[in-house]
Amino acid sequence: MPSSVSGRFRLRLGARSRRTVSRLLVFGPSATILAFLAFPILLALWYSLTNYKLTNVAGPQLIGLDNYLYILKDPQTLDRLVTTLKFVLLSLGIELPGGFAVALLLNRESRGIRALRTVVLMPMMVPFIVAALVWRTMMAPVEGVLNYGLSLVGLPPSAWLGSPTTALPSVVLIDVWTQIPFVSLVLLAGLQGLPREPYEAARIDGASEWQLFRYLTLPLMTPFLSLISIFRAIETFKVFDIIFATTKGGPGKSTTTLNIAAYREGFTYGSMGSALSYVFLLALLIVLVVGVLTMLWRRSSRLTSE
Amino acid sequence: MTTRYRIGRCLRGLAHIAALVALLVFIIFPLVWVFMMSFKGPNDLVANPPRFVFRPIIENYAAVLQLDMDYSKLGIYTAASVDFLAGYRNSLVICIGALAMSLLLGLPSAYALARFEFRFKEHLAFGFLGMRFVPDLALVIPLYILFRQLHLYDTKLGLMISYQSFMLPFIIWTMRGYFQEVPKELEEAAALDGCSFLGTFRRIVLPLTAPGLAATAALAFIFAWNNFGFGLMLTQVNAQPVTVKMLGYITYTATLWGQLAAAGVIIIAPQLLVGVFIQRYIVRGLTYGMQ
Repeated sequence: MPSSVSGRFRLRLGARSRRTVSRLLVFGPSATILAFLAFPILLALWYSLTNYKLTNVAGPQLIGLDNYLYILKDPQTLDRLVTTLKFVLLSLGIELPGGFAVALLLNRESRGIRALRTVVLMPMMVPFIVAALVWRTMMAPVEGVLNYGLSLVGLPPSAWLGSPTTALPSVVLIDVWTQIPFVSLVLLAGLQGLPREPYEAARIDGASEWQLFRYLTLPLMTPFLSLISIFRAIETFKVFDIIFATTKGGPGKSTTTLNIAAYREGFTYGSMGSALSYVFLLALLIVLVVGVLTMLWRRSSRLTSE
Repeated sequence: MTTRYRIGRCLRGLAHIAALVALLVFIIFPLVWVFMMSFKGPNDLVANPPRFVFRPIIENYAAVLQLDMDYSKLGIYTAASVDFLAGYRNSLVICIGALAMSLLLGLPSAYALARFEFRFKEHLAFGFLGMRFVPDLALVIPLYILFRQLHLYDTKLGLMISYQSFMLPFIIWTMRGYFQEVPKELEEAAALDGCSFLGTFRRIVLPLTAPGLAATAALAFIFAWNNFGFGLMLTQVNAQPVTVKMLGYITYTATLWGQLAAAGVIIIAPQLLVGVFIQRYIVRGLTYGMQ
């Protein structure tokens, strides 16, 4: 058999099987997304319209929007919403500038800095639940090492997780510890990819370090800052492990976010229907905030590109 | 002028070093502290002021690892009822199983999204990413109800399935990026030379993306290992992962801080090591390949 014929034959067969395989491969993700994503969430949406209770033997009954109306009327919902927003704003307000500062600090090449980058990575590898428990011991009011540290520098002890006024900031502090690595390493990757020429040109023109930062680094880093704020906003809205391991929403209602309220509703009181209405309220909030952030991002990138 | 400039530079250098030291202390102190706690006896753990120098004991680790020994140094602070090793085994089985599952389902999807053109492709890709908007409870609650009917509640398989909700989007988005970087020409050339589809994938695509794949798999494994919520709500006793099991050291009467700390160190030590090796790939992985 001449080799050219067999070659062409194999090629054609290859093209055909290739099409079959590609069809299968395309079908794969659709099937997976249906099985793992769409189906449970649709089911959850349906349950949120029922009075599903674990104790209810009769099974779930459709009650329309009653769960949603109930939580919208409940004055506690507003408190929980405010607590959630406070947590998000406080966390992002510290993590983004803090992470950026850390990224700027680490944006230098030396052996010490490289070793420090590895160290900064570490909290990212620690499960939230472990991080939260470690900080909880450090925040113990009497024998805790943080209050000991405060006493060394002459400051009065704090109640940390134990009082309604300090509990939320304390939980935020733990969140900051777990997230500084992620934020700073992403921003560091951004800084390392910045072009050098504009800096050299500006230095020749006699620009100060502050001017370099204000008029070059900051605008050039806007896409990275937007990306990271979107990522972090999504995750902080959903915070659960850290609060569960430290305050479980207390003292009082001081750290009861929507997510914690939903957990309590579902797994403490067994009302899955109303728990899910909290969950979807939270999901709606996330979509809204991320939508606004994305819009701002697009607008700012259009402005810088002009 | 020059001296003023020099003093300014010197001060800036000092401020820089001070900031780095503060950062180092903030990051590393909690880790050092939990390490120290894991070697403290009951009296040293609650000492006020806290002790930085103490006589280390290994009983906390021995108790966590359920070794047969004399626990008199721990006094009343032992919890024989926490089967930490079972939790560790559960976590290993669940995470390895979940990783295999997500690679099996995710790699073909990632490749299809990277290479083929089809309708609603970008919608589908963003559908996977949109998963991150959904709070875990929107999945956990329906899964809790379903799993109890399907006898998957409190099973390792059930947890493996539920972990796909965060592992699949991660694997698909990150690997899609790596696959897109493989030059199309290389694959076409291999196909022209008569390489079969799977052959091309195995000989060309996989070797070129191997480091990214290894790091992505390692990160996915760590995410699974660190997960707490799913295990809390979808297991009871039998399939509890290690992160949930360790809560057993917090009892109604007392918290066994020494054993809790030892358990924490055992849980985080392996990944701190892995993290150092995959450092280069982490940033990319954590932004779902968006950089």
